[in-house]
Amino acid sequence: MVRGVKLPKFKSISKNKRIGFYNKPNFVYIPLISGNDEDITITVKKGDYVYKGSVIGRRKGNFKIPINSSISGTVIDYVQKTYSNGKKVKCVVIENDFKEKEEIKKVVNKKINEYTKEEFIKTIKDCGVVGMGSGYPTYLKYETENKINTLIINCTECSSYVTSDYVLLVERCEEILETIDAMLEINEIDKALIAVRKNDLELLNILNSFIGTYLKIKIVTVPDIYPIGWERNLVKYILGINYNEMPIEKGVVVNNVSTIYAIYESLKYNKPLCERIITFTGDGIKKPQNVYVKIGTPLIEIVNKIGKTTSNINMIVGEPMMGKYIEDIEDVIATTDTSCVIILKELQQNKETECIRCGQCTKNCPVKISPVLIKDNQNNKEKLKQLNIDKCIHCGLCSYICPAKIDLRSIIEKVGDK
Amino acid sequence: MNTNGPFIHTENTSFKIMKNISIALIPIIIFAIYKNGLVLLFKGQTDFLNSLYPLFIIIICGLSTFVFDTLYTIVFHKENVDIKEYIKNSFSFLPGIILSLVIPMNTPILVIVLSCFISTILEKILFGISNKHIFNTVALSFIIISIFSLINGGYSYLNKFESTKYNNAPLQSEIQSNYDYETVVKPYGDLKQYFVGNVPGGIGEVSILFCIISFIYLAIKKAIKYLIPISTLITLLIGFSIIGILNNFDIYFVIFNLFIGSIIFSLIFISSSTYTSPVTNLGQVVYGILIALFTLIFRFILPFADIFLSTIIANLLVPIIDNICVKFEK
Repeated sequence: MVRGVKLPKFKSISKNKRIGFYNKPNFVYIPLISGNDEDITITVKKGDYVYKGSVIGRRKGNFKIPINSSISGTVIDYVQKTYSNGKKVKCVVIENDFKEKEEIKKVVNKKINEYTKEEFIKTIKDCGVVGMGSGYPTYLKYETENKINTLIINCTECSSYVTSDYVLLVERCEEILETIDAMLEINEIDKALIAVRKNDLELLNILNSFIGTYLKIKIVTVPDIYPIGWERNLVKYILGINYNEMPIEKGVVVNNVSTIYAIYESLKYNKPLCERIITFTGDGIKKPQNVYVKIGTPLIEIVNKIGKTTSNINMIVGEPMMGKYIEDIEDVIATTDTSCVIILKELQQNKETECIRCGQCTKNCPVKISPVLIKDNQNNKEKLKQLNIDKCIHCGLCSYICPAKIDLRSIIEKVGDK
Repeated sequence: MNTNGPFIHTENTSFKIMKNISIALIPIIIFAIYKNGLVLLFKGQTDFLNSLYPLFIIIICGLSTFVFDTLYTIVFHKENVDIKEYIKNSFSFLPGIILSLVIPMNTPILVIVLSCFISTILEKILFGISNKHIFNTVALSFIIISIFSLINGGYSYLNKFESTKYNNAPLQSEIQSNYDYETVVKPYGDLKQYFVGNVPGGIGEVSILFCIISFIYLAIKKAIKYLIPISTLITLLIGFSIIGILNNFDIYFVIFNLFIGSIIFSLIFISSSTYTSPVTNLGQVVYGILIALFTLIFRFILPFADIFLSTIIANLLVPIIDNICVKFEK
């Protein structure tokens, strides 16, 4: 039994439009960060010419995952820019020459299932493919001695606004299924399960119309609750199993749709990860839609291009439960883990009242901790440890569900940081 | 300004939860006025003004807790609270109204006001010291009234009509030697009367039917910790059944003990009060079971106050229950 809550959905405003493109930023700001790791070796210097896909930095330590340029042009500076988590991150500034030059001419591999496992891992590693939600290097999930039994494709998008994976599946369903099938063959995986919310009938119809020839790929429906898309919840619900650190312990790998598409582009075209689809939505934007964006593009450029409904906008980067309100909207850039940008005329303001101890936060917490007891024991370190504060995944469900509108998520984060 | 999500919130608010509890009480209040006032008027046993006496008690109780709570806030927290806003959002009349529905019909007004004053102020003082709502004010008020009642030889639960038929409310009567249909059901009509609430008892607590309707409404509106009344009732059912079997009592022993008295009403509106019950799921079940076990004991010692005493004792154990049960929420 997994816990969660059905959230209000505002997906229809962006899901039925074709994917737009914004591929001509004057400058891109490539963030020197991989996952949460800012310990990056920079491989370019000011004045260097870089191609689209050129490696401009590489993560140090064990995970030597490259960071690639998303345009061709000249490195002109290093500056601090606002990342999707609201923090300032060092970025390489590249001036666009609008030639989209690539260092190695694009190779089209007709059959992506002919890769060996080693070639597969090397390719996605060299192309810098990371989880498009977590930033975790994807190759690490496959570089394992454990037998992979099941590949779960996360198509749940259980939050309120995001439709980037949905539109990707609508427009690139064949490519995505071809990639999943190739991944099964290359990694000798028994089966793939595509997880879709049970009330997402449009997506189920689309998948059903293409899936016929892929005997090892099955669709599984999951309840429309948040956070069903959280990896641990998804594995528990679909396979009924728990794991300690990573699902690979139990022979399971989970990837989301955007990551699968990034794998497709790396296998098919040897294309490094330097672009992604982002949902631009909310009542502050004229035509909510999904846009194919180059990593490092200032988000405000795309918002301005689409059009605002009001001059004073509020920007949330990420989905509404775990996303971040960005004060300096001119400064924030597109990153590999940005799935959604919500532009709102006004932010919902709730007045906090006294806790009535209804227990809703405890009852609904997906990791089964008690936010209200953590709040009660904020100054008792020993007690906080007993209350498993470190298990919190910061999903925001406790703050969402609280009838007294107490921001429990922030309290837990604050207490956890101490 | 908070820069972290969530940026959307449930539409449910504390105000709505309290509003739903108030709505859930409406059918019970109407039944109380009907049973103890209007029926008497229709039978010609009282005049119009006297038929409104139950409503008068309900208003006095509600006003008492509201006024004492507000006065305390004005006197001690004037600087920190916007009083107008406080009054606008206050549901402090609710404990008073709930209390009015469980007390004997003939409780003196002064005793009611005094008990509301003591319990409200005591609760406020303890909250000020511990920053926790330690016990349920309704349960405490009832116990204070019960003490006055014991000193004064017992306040009668019977309305004018009932006093012509019965000597006492069922739980004030002598403990039965055998609990068969003839002794515990027939004097009040039949089982339907038990269920509808046409039996002597507190002003509005006696209708199982309306209590169940209120419970369903509150459960649908997510305004009640439903695990508490369910676990208590199941435990009581098992407990009374075991006692019944050991003493060769009839099935009516179980029905009598579950339906007579304040058990069903109190479980929904007093024992399950959000402020004073556990927050963990398992804790709510354990708390419910404990209330049932205490009730099983007190029923044979102080039957008219059993559920209230049990609730107060269980209230005091809430921090311990939560601390233990949170470890099992895995």
